[in-house]
Amino acid sequence: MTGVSAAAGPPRPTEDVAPPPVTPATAAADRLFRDQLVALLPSLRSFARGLCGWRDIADDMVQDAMLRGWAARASFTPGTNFRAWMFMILRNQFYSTIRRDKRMTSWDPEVAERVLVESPSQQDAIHLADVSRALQQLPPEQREVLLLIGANGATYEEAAEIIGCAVGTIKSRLARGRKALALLIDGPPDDSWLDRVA
Amino acid sequence: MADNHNPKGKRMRRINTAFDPVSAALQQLHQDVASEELPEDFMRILDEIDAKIAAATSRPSQ
Repeated sequence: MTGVSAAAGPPRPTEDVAPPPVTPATAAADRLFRDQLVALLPSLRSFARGLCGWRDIADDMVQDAMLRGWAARASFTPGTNFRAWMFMILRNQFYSTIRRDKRMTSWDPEVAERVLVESPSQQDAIHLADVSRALQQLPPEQREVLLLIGANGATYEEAAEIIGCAVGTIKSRLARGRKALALLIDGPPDDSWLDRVA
Repeated sequence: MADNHNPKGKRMRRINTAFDPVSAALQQLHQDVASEELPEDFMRILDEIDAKIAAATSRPSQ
């Protein structure tokens, strides 16, 4: 673990945290918190965009996460993993949002199955728009691991901390997600030689 | 890495086979979003936070 304990975990959506009394120390901590938040915004926006696939909704989720994080800053322990703490808040925001908005529950096993067996149209080129669409066809639990580790550079341990599961589970989801995404991008392995030698 | 020949009008990257295309694509997607300018809504929230910090520090300490 890298610093976010269960006790100091992200605030729940209904949790109210009283603002800390103002002292020179808290003012300095607030400024540090703000600066860390600003530095993290590109990664938070990227994670949210990859999770939900909708730019405007993703940015709304990040803004909500910013406000929740700021309101709950007293519960963050300085010196612990701020990135993991904010990603947890944003992830909670995503799952709250998809419970309300069914457009983002795009995972449909039948559709994914159909896509997984399609032939590749390109051998060595990647359309980023296609990758983005393919991501949305993965189950959210695989998508979030791919985004955290593959896109945002999180470690296995950090991803496990953010998602709240074992490192082994992260590795398993990452392997399955990478395989599924590669199939969606490249198509199934070329085994046409089997027909030729049969 | 970059070959921007674009017959369908779609954004395309040609990936060297030495690279892992999944990792390369994920990193490129991340980079594309991360390099965007922050929308105005974000700046407004940061301005609000700055104002709260300024107001708090200008009050006498408790």
